[in-house]
Amino acid sequence: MGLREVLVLVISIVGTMGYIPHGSIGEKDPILTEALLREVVERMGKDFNDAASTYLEFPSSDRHLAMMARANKELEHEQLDYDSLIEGNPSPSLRDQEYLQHSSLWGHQYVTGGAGEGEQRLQPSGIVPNRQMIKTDAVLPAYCNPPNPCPVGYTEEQGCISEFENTAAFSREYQLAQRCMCDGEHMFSCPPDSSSDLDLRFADHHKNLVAKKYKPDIENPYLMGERLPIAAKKGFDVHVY
Amino acid sequence: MAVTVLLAAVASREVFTNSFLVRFKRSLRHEEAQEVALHHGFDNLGPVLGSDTDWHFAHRGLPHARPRRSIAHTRLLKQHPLVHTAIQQTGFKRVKRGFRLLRVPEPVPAAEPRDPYFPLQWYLKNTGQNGGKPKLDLNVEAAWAQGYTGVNVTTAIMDDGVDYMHPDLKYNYNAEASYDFSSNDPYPYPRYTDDWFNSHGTRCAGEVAAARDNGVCGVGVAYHSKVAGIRMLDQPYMTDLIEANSMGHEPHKIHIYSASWGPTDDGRTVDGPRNATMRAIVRGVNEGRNGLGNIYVWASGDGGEDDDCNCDGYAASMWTVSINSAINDGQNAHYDESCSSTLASTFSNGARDPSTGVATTDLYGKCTATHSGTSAAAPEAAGVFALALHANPSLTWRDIQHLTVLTSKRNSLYDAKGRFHWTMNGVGLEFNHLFGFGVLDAGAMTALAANWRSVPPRYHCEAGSVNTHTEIPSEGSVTLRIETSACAGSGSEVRYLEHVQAVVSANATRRGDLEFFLTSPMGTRSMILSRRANDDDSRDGFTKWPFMTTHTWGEYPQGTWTLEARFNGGSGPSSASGWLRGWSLVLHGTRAPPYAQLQAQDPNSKLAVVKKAHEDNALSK
Repeated sequence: MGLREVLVLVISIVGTMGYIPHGSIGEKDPILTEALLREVVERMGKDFNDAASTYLEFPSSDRHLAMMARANKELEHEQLDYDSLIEGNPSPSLRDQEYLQHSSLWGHQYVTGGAGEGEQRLQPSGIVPNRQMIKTDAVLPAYCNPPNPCPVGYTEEQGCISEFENTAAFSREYQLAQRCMCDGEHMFSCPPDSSSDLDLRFADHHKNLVAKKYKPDIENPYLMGERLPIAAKKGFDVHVY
Repeated sequence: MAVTVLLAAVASREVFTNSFLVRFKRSLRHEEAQEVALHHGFDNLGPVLGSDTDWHFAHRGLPHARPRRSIAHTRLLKQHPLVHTAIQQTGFKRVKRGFRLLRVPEPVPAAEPRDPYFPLQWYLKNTGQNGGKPKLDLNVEAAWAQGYTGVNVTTAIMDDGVDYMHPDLKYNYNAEASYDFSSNDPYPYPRYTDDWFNSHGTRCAGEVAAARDNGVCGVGVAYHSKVAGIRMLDQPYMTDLIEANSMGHEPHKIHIYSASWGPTDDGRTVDGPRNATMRAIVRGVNEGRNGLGNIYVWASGDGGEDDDCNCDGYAASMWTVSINSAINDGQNAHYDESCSSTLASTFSNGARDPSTGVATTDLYGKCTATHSGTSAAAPEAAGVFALALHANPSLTWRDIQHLTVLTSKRNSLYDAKGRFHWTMNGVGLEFNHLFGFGVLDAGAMTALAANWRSVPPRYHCEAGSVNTHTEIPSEGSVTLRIETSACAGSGSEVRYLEHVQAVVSANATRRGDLEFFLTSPMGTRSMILSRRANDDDSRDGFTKWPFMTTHTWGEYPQGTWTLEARFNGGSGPSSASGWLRGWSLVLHGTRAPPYAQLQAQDPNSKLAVVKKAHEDNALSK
C-alpha cells in the first residue's frame, strides 16, 4: 500500500467513528476515549456522592425536605417544592445553616463564559478577536491534553515534566504528538475530515432545545463552506505514516 | 529586655509579675503590714479589696514580668510567723473588646510598584490614564499601605487553566490546591490553540496575584496571595460533576473561588447549578475554610441589557458574590448584565477602545493590556477579598458580604443610559440596580475587616406565599401582597435582612416581556426581573424560580411585601399574555442587630449610618 492508500484508509476508518479518536490514550480503540472519560467522570462523581452526606437536605420535616430537595432526583417527580412547604408548615429552620433549594432543572446544560463570551481580544497585542463558545453536556468528545510542566518545587516523580519551555511553540509541538480531536473552533486549520465541528452540533433528540436556544451557528467562519482537501501542516498523525 | 521577657513568656506560657498576694493568719493594721513588707524588701501596696488579712506586696528587686516563679521571695515571705500564704501573681493578657489601636496611615505614601505594566493598570490606580476618571479605582494602595497584601490566602481560578510557569505567577502558585478536571491530572496548564483561546484563566490569575516589583507585567491586587488553577472549562462539553468537583475542590486549602462563567448569556436562558453543583456550593459555604465558609465570586455575565443575571442561578445565588463591572470613567460597560442579586462592582474594559482593557498576565509568560468583560471584574473582587482575609482570616462568608455592602462606594458610577439611579434603601444604604452597593474599596474593606466582629447567627424565614393564579394584564400591572411577621415568635425570626428571595411561578406567551418588581415593607423597590428582548419562550415560563435581591440589606422585614408583575414590550406595547401562578417570600438574615458590636470610626460611614438606623429602630419599639 502506498502512502496515499494508508491515508485514505485511516481517514475512512476515522470518519466512521464520528470523531478523531483521542490518540494519546486510545490509539487503537476510539471507543476508549469516551469510555475513559465516562469512567473519569463517574469516579469523580462517586467520590463526590460518597462525601455528600444527607445533612444538606432538611432534617425530619418532610415538608421542608420537599422544599429544599428540589435538586434531589427522587423527589423531583413528586413536584414537591416551596408550595408544599408554605401551605402547611412554616416551621423554623435550624439557625445559621444553609440549605439546598432551587428551581427544578432538567435537560442538558449550556454554559458560556471565559474567553468565549462577549467581545474580547486575545494575544498580548490584542489583535485576535475571541469567538463565541457554548459549552454543554450534550456531547462528550475530548481535546488533546496540554503538557503538565512541573510547578515550582515539584519533580518528575510527581508525574509532571521538568524539561519544559514555556512557549506557544512547545505546547503546540507537545500536543501535535498526540492523536486527538482537532479543535476546529480554535485551530486556524484542521486536517480534512476532522469531524470535530460535527460533534459540536447537537444530536437529533435535542433538536427542539437547540432550536429554542440557539441562533444559527454562523459565528465561526471556519466551520462554513466546503472543507479544503489540504493536508494540515500540523495536528494530525496520518501524514507521518 | 522586653524582647527576652516576651520570648521567655512565649516559651513557658505563664508570666509572673513582681506582685504577691499575702494572706496573714490574723487581721493586720496598716503599720504592721508595712513593717512585714519592709522587713523582707517589699513595698506594701495596701489591702486587697478592703480586707485586713489579704495584702498586696510588690518586690522592687523583681522585674515587672518574668517567666519563672520567684521561689526565694515567696519562701522569704512564708517564713514570717504571721504569714499564712504568699502567692506570686501571674500576668494575663487582656485586650479591650471592640477596640484596636488606630492604624496610623503611613505618612509617606508607599512606593509604587515598579512593574512595567503598572501604569496601565488603571483599575488599581486611576490617574486618568486613557481618559479615565482619576481616583476611580479599587483603592488597593490604601490596603497595601495598611500592610495587607493577601498573605496566606489562596484564590482558585475556575477556568481554562493557568500558565503557572509564568514568571509573574510561578512563585504565587498554589500547586497542591490546583487540579485539571479537563484532563484529569493535578497540573492545570492550558491547552494550546492557534488563537490562544485558553488564556483566560491565566489573565484572571494575574489580576489576583501577579508578583510585585519583579519587572514582569503588572501587579496583582493581592500580590502576596496565591492562586490555584482549576482547569474545568476546556472540554467541548460541561457536566454537573465537573462543575461540582471544581467548586468543591480542596475547600480548606482554597479560600476564594473565582468563576467567570455561567449559563449561556443569550438573554433567553434560565438556568443554574444542578444537583451536584448545588450541593458543592452549599457544602463549601457551610463547611469550607474549616467552617468559615468558602467565598464564591461570580461574574454577573456579559449578556448586556437584554439579559438579567437573576436568570443565572449561579449569579443569583445567595452563596455567591455576584460582581458587575464599570469602565474607567464610571459608566457601566455596554455588555453588563444587571440584576438585583448583584452585590457590588469592580472594573473592566470599555470594550470599544482596546487600550482601556485590563492589564495582566497572558499565556506563555507574556503580558496583555486587553483583558476584558465581566470576566475581568470577578477576579479583581477575589483579590480584594484576599486582602480582607489577610486583614482578618476569621471572616466568614457572610462577613465578606457584609463588608462588601458596608465598604463599597458609589464613587462616580452611573448608568450611561440614565435608566437606573442610585437609591437609598430603608436603612440608608445606597444601591443601584447595575452596580449593587457600588465599587469595591480595598482600603476601606481591609480597615473595617481588621476591626470586624463576626455577624450574629443567620436565620431563614419562609415569610408567606400566594398560591392563586392571577392573570397579568396587557396594560398596567398586577400586584400580589404578602403580609408577614418575619416568623416573629418562632425560632427562625428574622429582624435584620441579608438576602431576600421571591420564588415565582409564571407563564407568558412571551417570557421575555415579563418584568417583576419586589417592594419591601420599607418601600425599597427591586427589579427582580427585567425585560429580556430575546427571550421568546412561551412554554416553560418560570417554575418556582428564586429571584434574589440584595437591595433590602439591613432593612426590617416585618410588614407588607409586594410583588408586581407586568409586561414590557420594549418600544411598543406588549402583545403577550400570561399568568402569575403564585409566589412565596423567603427572608434570610439575623435576629440580632448585625453591627451592634462594631465601632464606627467615621460618623459618615455607611456602617455608622446603618448602625444608627438600627439603634433608633430598637429604641422606638
